Amino acid sequence: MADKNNFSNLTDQELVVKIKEDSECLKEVYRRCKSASILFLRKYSKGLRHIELDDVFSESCIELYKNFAFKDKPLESSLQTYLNRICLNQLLNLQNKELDINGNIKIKKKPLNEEDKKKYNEKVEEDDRKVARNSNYNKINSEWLPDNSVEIEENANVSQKNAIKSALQKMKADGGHCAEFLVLFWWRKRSMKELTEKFGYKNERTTIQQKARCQKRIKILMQKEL
Amino acid sequence: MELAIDIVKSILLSKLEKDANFDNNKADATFWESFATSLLDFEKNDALCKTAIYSLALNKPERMIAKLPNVYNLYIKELAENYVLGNESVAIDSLLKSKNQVFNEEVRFLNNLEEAITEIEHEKIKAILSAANDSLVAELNEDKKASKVISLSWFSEVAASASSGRSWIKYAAAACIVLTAGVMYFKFNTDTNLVQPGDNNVVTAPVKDETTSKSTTSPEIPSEALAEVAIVTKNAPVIQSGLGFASKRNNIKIVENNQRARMQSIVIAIDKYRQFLEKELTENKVGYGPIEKEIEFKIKSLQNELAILKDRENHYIFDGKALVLYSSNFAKENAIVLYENKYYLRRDADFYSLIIATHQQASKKITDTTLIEVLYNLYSE
Repeated sequence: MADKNNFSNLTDQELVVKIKEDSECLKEVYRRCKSASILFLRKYSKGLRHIELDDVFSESCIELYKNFAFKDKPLESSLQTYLNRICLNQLLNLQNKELDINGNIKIKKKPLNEEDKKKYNEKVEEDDRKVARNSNYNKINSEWLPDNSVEIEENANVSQKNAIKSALQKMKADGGHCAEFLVLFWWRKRSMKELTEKFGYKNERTTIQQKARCQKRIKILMQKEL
Repeated sequence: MELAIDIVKSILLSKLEKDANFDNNKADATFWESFATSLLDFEKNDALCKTAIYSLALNKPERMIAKLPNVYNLYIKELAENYVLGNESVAIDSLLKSKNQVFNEEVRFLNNLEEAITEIEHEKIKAILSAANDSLVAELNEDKKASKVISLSWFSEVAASASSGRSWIKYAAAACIVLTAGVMYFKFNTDTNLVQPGDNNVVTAPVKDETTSKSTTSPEIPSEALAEVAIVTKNAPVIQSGLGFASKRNNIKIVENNQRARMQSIVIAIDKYRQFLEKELTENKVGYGPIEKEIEFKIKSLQNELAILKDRENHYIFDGKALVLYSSNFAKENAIVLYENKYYLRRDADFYSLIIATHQQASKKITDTTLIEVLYNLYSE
């Protein structure tokens, strides 16, 4: 467990090593950097409420954790500077803005390539057709009701995701390594080699088979939850 | 096709090697490429795959052919996983183009699996950060208390050193007293009777009573502005175990009463009234009797209110439909979890047990780690 007494004396580099081992150490990052990061964000975030800046900071801490724990990125500045940079990127993404070469903030404009241009033109044409169809809507019949297939698909995905969460909980409660295995593979992006070492399997082939078994098991549990 | 060939080999080769007549030389690069391509279309046309198996001149080709549906299934699912992981292959492009149902369903499942795990892990990290915030706030409060003690002890030291002959300290102390008196004079001769922002959020100053400006001897009773109890009402989802079924979500109305500002302003007001009694009324005896009574009455009623606020601090009233909370801070997030017919409040990172009753109950934080884990998992569903 991350504790003030244990970690407050660590250097930034030492803390990064601890973060890789235990996400609880993010508490110390929070303790060290929160107030300065929020002050830093305020300079770029007119109109955003404190709670929204808090969210930006939380998301940035998650990103920082991923960078160190999963991607093994090095810390080449102070932790505060590193986190502030992530915070700024998160904030700019949130506001759909970016920094220009002089460090000034501007609205992000995505350049259109040929394929995008084609898609854009098709979309405009389709929208025009829809407008034309809707203008005749009352004259004809209800076959032009709005297409709700996307919404249905999204709802199905939400249901499946919720069922997977319940299934993971059951899997964890039942014991065994499957829940941990899946988290390590899908969240921490651990390689087959690392997983083989971690769980002490005979070889990578066994680990692949184990992953297939775990995914099959979670699918069965998920289907029971649906 | 390199990725696809590797996958087919990893699935099929070990099975082929079990056949007594299997000759590795017959299964050359051309064979694997052709087989990997044919297997993509196995559902619509299995003839090409069967022909490829016969070309190997196995001892029992029928046994291998019987395994092909399973091989196909594993192959497509492996390709789907590679697609979700961001790997590219001509075989994947072909499956996307043909809208292969097995492939699409597996992609959807794996995407949802990854997202579900990510959401759970993000929530865990947010809970860690929230806990860090709570401990930081608690520490800051302790530090504030400590700084008060330090400033008092500093004042004692200054006083002691002044009496022990450090002459400059005497002048500094005198300057402080003059400054304080000046501030007090300014404060009590300025209209402090500000009306607090109401629904329209506009701070207004009331029209000055003409009689006060005429009176030069009778002291004006300071009217201390009191902050209101801040109230936020929200509907929180009830999360309950589906006991094997999907979770059901209902809502419970949560009324949060943040008493902090009100309590602080009462403490400040009582302090000001006491100072007024001690300073102003001893210096200006005019109207001392009725004004003193009025101020003492004000102090008494504020003390009573403060006692009530303190009494209900960290308490709640819950009737099963609505929950009224009394606290000194607003939670970022509240949710109700129903587990084994008992209600629990998730308030930021902590869980509290809830008892349905007509009178107020003290908030009790859950400390049982097993129960916390169960509640957390239910909450994360």
